[in-house]
Amino acid sequence: MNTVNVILCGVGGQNVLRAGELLSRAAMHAGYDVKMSAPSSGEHSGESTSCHVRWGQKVYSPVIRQGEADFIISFEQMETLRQLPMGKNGVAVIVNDDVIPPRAGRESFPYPDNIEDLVNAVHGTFHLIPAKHLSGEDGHVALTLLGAFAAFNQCSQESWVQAIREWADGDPESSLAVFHQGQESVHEPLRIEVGERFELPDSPTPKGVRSFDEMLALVKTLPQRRVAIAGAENKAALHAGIECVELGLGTPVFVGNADVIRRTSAEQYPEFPIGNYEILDARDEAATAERAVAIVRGGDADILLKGGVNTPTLMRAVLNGKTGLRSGSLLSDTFVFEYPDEDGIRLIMITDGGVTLQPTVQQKVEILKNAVVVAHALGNVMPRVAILAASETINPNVAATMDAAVITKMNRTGQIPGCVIEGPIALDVAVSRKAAAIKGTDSPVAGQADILVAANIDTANALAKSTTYFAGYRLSHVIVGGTAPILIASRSDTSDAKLLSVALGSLMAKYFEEQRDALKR
Amino acid sequence: MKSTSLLSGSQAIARGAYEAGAQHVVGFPGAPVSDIIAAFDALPDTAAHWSPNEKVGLEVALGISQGGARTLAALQHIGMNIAADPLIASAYSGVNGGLVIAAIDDPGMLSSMNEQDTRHFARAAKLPMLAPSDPQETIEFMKLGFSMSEKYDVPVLLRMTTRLCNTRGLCMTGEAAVHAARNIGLKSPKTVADGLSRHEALEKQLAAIEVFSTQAFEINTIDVGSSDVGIITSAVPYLYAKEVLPTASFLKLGILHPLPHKLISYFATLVKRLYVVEELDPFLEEQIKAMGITVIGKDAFPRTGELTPDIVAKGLSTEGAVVTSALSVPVKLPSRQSNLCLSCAHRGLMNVFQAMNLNVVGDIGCFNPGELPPADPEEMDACFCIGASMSVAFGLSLASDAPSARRTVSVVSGSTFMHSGLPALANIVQNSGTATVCLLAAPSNGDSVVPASTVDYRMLCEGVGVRRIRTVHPDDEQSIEAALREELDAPGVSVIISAR
Repeated sequence: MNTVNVILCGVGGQNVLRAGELLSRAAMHAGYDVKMSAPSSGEHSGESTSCHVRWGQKVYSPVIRQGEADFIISFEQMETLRQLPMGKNGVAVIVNDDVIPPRAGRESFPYPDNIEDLVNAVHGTFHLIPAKHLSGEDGHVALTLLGAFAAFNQCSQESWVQAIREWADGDPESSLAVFHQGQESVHEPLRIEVGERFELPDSPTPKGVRSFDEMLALVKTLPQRRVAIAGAENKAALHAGIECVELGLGTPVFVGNADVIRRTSAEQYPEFPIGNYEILDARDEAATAERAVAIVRGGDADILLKGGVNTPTLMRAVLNGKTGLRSGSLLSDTFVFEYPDEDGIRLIMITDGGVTLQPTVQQKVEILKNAVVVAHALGNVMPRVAILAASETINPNVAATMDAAVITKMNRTGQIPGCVIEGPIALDVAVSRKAAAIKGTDSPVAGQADILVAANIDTANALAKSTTYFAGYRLSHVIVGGTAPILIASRSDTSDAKLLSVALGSLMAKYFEEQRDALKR
Repeated sequence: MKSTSLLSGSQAIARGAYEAGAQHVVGFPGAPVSDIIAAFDALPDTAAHWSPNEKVGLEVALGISQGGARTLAALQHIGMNIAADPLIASAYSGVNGGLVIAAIDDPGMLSSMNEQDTRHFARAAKLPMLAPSDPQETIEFMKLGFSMSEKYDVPVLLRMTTRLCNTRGLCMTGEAAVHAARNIGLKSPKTVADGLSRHEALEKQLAAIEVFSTQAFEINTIDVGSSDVGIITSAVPYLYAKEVLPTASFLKLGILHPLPHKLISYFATLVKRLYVVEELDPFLEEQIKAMGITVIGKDAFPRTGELTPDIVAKGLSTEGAVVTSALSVPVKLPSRQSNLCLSCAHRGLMNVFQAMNLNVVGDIGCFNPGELPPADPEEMDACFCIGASMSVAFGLSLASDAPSARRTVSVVSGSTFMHSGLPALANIVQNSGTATVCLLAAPSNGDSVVPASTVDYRMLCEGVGVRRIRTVHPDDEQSIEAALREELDAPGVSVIISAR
């Protein structure tokens, strides 16, 4: 968790809560989410007083957990110890050197004289600040202490200045001067890393590749990816590898019975220089699948393409927890077809027609995220996602409509980033602006959906195949959710579909590589 | 123009009402209601109407609503008890201009002396109840509350807690909506038949609100996470649970009444094990169990006190929430408790009570620290509820004529006297009882905004039939003691007014 946790404490009347507000404002101006909490809105004269301030990329709880405070800023020496149990091991403590003796009470424990020792005992750093001396007669002790805290480099100087200007009652310049006194009183600043700040996506958003021809043209300009063909003994599998070479889409690595592969190649494609390409020998189907998966896993190939091995055998190798291609996500099939939209050709995705039979809402989220990865790989950084149903009405008796509404809401609250989601939504409203206008649906997705998420495998599969068989649109598809793109062509897929899938896989391999590089940086 | 600002929950209540076009707020002073009213009053074109008690305040609000304007009423949980009569009546009468009642509970007793769970009022009064979790949501829910109030023709409760009122967070604030003035729409059931039909209409409205609530995914939100653990929760406990077990699935209820039963059933199908995380009573838990759904609630979380992230983590530790531990600091510290203000006008009186060793029956107010150590023997012996000092002391005198019972004095401040003390005083006179009352007419917190500041207490006491009335200066301890000795021995009702 990258949230910074600060406890401010002191004695009622010392303006501890006002200081908490100033700190919260500085964090706000530095671009963080902030929460501040106190048991009361004001300070009760003479009582122990404290407040919690937390900031980071997204802060939920307004209250700090015990043992989690990064800093304690104390306006009175002894009050440090009252809050110290809340600190983490190594807590940084900034203490005003004031001593306010408590009113005699029923318990008569002595005022402690070993405060610094007790802080050191929990490996804390102890910074005693002569705040009253530094702040001068009329200055706020709060400003000096926060100045000392600011030396720890938590928020930018500009954000402090802005916060102090808003906060100061009288003369902001003298307040700033007191603040700087405090800043200079701490000589060894310490840094604690904080999470990234909120950044809104750039707009307008590029739409990326809009047709298969564009995709093929783009892939030809990129470095050639290595395609592991699992089961290259038969004519169709060999042909796919040869076409990859001829069209400049990728470099095949043939996996299977090496003798049979060479023989078939020589018989069927005598012109093809098979000797120039790597052939990995495997004695049977299971070994072929394992070997093909292993080279993708090891990074010696970028794309896994099913050749002659049967699908269950290949998937067993892919799904193996130790040697397979699992990334922790659910695997799902993303089907892409080229659609002559009202405004021209564009690519639309349908999912999941291939893996999960009856996805739960949790699985739908993963399926959807997988399709969003494909869209991003195609250069569409903010795809529009439609979660399909028979209409736009949420019906508590129809789980698919409830799932759709829940996922839509999660997207609006930032829990599913990188896309715009709408659902439940019917197919006509999702893909036709005319239909959306007639039905009066006001949504950024209506009429422009890039990704169609179906309620189950039957719907997705039938919807996808209807684009091929009724409308004759071109297609490609890829299995996403593993550590590399997995291409499992249907036996009835045309050779065009297989090549487009390789091109799609190639773009995805490039995208994965960029993501890995970004993580390393 | 939208802009981001840092607002407390109290300020967000005021801001939300303002942005909804409300121009009026009513309330009785006290934490955190005073913060809400002050924040609202500071906004342009608004009026704050302080009231002598919450019943009067809510009645004024009901009148403003029937007069066609939107109004906010801000009440502490204990204020809800005082206002229960007009509250339940308002559900039957309905509204004209929207009426939202912010009801502030106090888990942990951060600013009061009880932990009642005001969510029960929503069911008792049959009113919709919204529960935000942070200041931003408070603004949004306040605006929603006003539109629901007018759409469904009922006052809407907005349930807050002291913690949320005193939590600051980032808020997007906007402009005030213009709420078009409506014609006066004075209405209330006039006959039993009317009342019965209004009750039926109210039940129909609640059913309609439930249909709305089931589909209100912006208000009752689901975060899809683990398919093993689901957590049904609301308000600030949602933030705690989200903090300690972010991988769980969540159903966060923004509408606590009526509950969206179908949404809850749907959520229950998403996960293997369900928890209910709520502060105080098992309000949600019992209703969900009544639906035949198995949940873990108060078996894992306490019924008393405020929840904290640490307590929630402990309850969810078997599901993987990490329980952090406090640093060990081996030292015992002297405690610091609140004092009477240094300038408190009532210190002299407290000193005399202590010196004379009297039974002191107190009232509610900022002079309550008189009960706390180091005063030993304590300066104040009992304090029940607002306005109760005289009525309880009268009861004491009825139960016993032991000499110690005769050494009993009631202490009441001007604001609580005007809140509900006056009928108690009249009651003693009416029943020919005996009592010695110290009325602290020198201002205490809050007195300046309620009628207490303008009242002629002597005339008021005379008016209800008190014959022995005398005025003492609060700093003159000798005169106070002499007056007390004389009046404790005198028959009938005496009032000693302490005023500067």
